[in-house]
Amino acid sequence: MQHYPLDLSRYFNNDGISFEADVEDGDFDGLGNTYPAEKLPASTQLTTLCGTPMLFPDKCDGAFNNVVLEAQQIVVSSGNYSTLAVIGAADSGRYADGGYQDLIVFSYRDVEESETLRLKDWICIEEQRRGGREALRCPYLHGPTGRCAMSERGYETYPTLWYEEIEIDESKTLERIHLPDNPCMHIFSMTLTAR
Amino acid sequence: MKRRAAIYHLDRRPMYYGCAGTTMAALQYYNPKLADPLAYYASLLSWTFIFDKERGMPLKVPASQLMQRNLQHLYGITQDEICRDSFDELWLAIEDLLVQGRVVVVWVDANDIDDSAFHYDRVPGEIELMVICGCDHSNNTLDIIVNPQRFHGQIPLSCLADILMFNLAYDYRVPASLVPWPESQGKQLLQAEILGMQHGRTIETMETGFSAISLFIEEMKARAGSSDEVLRPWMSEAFDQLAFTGPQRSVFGQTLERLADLYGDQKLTTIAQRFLATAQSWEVARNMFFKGCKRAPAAMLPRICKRVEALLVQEQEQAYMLQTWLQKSSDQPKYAI
Repeated sequence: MQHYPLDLSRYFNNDGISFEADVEDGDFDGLGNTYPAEKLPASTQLTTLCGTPMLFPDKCDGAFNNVVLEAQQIVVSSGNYSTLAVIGAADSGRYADGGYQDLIVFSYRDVEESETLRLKDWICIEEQRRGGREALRCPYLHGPTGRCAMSERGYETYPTLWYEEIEIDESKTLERIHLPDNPCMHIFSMTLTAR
Repeated sequence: MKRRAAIYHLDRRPMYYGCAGTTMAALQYYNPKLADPLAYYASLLSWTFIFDKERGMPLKVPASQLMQRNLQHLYGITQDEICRDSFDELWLAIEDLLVQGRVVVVWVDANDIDDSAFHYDRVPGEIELMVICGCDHSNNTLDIIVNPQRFHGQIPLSCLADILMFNLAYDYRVPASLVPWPESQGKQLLQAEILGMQHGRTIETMETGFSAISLFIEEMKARAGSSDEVLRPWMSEAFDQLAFTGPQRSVFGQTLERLADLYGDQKLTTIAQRFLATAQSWEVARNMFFKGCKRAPAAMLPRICKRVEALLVQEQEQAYMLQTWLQKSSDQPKYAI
């Protein structure tokens, strides 16, 4: 297996991470909430999550660190890959059965094929977590006024980064990945794998 | 009237349907078969879209009315609404019913009194339906059941006025015998929902069904090019008004999924899954209004429009698929009552 972590930094368009010293930095969900930087892997380092080496984004204040999906085209090194691993999460998905799914398009040399990308909500309730692969679970989130481990409804909130793996047709040469236009879905890291 | 009833949510159920969940839980007092999840979903079996042409705005779906319609159609459940100008008058009416051996159902806000008087495990901020099933005048207490916590106990009669949301009570009439999914009536209801979407209706300034979604799309196109400042309040209200569009389709899809299990019908499962996907996509569209308001409304609007156009096509396909399924299955009832 050969892994190819992608550098997504040029596509980052959202700051979803803050340090406790400045919880007002960033806004993952449009409500001013963020993942706690202290509970996430080190910035710009390869971290193995669910068995796959993933390049974790820069967590520093003021920096964008995830891609809100807005129909971007990710250009990759042309090659024959077998899987795409994604670290991400949805926001506002608790009332959509715990997350979202949308079509991701693989652009091969001669043809395009779509697959379903599923991302669970970053703070979905316990029952909605089933079927998802957790990459990381934080004990609290950063709200605009500090740590928050309980929602206003009294539910425990464990902001989670989810791991998703999508199969790619390895007989074809992949050139680009077209993300869907779904601003409720966020990607922090992607890694292509070739057998 | 003290204040508007807030809409709240229960675990695993979308916000709007929380109140429906409490209604069904309260009605279980009359008939335990209403505890069947199929009955819960069937009571919420509705598929609508309403657009107000005058305001250029989609409108929230009046689910409580749809639920009442479904309860009557599917199970023959009717309700008498007892509305009085004052609490004293309402209490006289409630007492009269209790003397007759009936129970009454009222909306309560349990946050108005402290825990020592009303100590069940309630969720902060929630408003509930309470069944009043007796009155002990010697102790000045009421026998109550509060759902969905199933708290069965007594509260001081004196606190009733404080916790009532409105001077309003319901006397439900629920048949002693019912089935959670009455097949014939259920299929009639499905048929009516499909036709309602396909043909739509015009009610004063409002349009319903697919034509209403088309009008919504036209409205978005007409507003394209407006400034961020002009678009922001309109998009903010659209975000609010679309709150139940996705959840309604989600419940519709879940009902179809349960029926598919009941019938062992793979085709219906496929249709159900499409409704669930549509529900999610409506939620995305709604959240795009929210995110657009926060950042760049004018840039977001064409993207939302594109998504809603796709949703219209998907919903029309689903109507056709469901119609075909109903026609093929109408001659062969499979569910034994």
